Amino acid sequence: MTPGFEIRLSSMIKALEQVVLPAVEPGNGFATEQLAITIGQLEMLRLQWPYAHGYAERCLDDIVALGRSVAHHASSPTGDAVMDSVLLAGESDASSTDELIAQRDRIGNVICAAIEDIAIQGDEHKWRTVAKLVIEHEGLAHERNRAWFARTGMDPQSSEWPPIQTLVRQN
Amino acid sequence: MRTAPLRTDDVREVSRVGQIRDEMEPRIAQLMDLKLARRETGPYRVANSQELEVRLAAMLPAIGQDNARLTSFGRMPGGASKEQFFFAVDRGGGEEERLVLRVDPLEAIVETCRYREAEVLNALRGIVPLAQVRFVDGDGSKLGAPSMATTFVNGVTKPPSDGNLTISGVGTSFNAAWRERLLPQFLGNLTAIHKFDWRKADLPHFSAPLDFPGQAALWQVNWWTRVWREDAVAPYPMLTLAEQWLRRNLPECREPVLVHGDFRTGNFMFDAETGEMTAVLDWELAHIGDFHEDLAWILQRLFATPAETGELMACGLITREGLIKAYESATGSTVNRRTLAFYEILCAFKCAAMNLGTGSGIAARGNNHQDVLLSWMAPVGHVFCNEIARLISEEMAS
Repeated sequence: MTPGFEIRLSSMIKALEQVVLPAVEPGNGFATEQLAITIGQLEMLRLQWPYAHGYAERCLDDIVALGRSVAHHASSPTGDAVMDSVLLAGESDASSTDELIAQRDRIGNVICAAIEDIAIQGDEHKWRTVAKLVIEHEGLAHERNRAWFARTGMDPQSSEWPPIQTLVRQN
Repeated sequence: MRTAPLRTDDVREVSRVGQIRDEMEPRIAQLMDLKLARRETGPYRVANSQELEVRLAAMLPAIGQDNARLTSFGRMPGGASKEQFFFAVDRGGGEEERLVLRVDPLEAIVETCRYREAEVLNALRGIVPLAQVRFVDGDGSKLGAPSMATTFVNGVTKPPSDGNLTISGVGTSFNAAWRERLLPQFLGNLTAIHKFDWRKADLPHFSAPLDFPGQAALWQVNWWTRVWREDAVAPYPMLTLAEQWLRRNLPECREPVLVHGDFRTGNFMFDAETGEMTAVLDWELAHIGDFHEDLAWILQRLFATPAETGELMACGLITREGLIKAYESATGSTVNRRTLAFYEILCAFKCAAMNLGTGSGIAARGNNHQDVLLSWMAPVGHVFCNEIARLISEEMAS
């Protein structure tokens, strides 16, 4: 792994900032803008990389928790499908970040199907219960996601989010 | 033939139970069908400026510019939706006219129609400050992709003293002096658009939601939930919940107006010295609908900045209550708070769908000229998801 990701990303950023950016024709706003964003993305990747696996684990843990709660309130067969996928995730020993993300998405898809099912069934109590669960889940998800992407500068509350290392463990 | 008018409660019930998703403005549905077919032809290569310049020069006679000569051409920065170029033509008298050309990439963060954009710009000429349309190649038969050229408008989109790098006007703030100059024009233009008699205008690519009172809202819900379903790259339970909440809470609209669809700071230009507004920009999302939709867009959290006192100002210009009162006073309309909340949730849904869904999907397929910008902007969708959660919580508690 030598040179590691940190060294390779840092050297790319330096080259783009100190060599390529000054060489761009001053009137070429399109190229300057894309180059500035590219440098910003590389810098963000450099900072996120050590936590990428931990971030995917947190995403999966949170969706599993939501899946368990929704399955408890959703009637079969959708509820059973949610539970099956949640249990499958619990039993699996996924090791790669990509596998964790794929599992998160599989569970997310069945939860979404269950939400639609509950809405269509028309049981007001179930609907309100599931709405409350999803909104609570969003409370966890948004803090994690917005802390992760705070450096884009697009979030009006970016200064309110904790450092990412306090939310997820290092690889 | 329909024998009795549809009741909104019936539509809500059918929308909830039957999930009627096809009921939307016909031209929008057509554009979305075309998008699905076109996206498979990617990845997109950024337009070659030199080739485009040659094609543009060759098409000048075909667009009524018989004696015109292209005197300059170049790419403009910005434009997360369309590729933008400046050019100038000399019609023989030695006097140049500066123009802006906007060309559709293979996929854009919003899928829209150049015919509609040109029609609304022509219809509102003299009513609000606008760029003038010089030519439209709506099907791309002349330039290779749908495009439109308008006059170049002088002006700025943020105060000259604001050196902050902002994308698409997000985060632009105004001090008290600028607010005093800009706010009356901002409100005046909004109300002029809403008071415009679209029934008498030549808008052949538009349809109006007049069949039943919930149709305006249903068309929008079906438009943006279709965008989300077709463009999402990952499931978001919050957005699925939001769709179902919207379907259950369709408001009525009995007097549809012309809605700008993207009326906010960043989408108007003004003279940096006098503060006079020189153009209302970005009409591609214009449609016939509910006036609450434009108000709800102005009130989106992302477009708000704090005043010197710390008070949050919608679009950096006015408080929430100030906007509602000023709008009611200027138009004589009553702002229905529940309808406004519905459209605030819908507008946040739109922004989440555009960024987390469309922007991420396009970048993944490499189908835009600004893939790197779209993937940079995509996470802003999380801000909107959280806004949706907050607003639905408030509505369910009330």
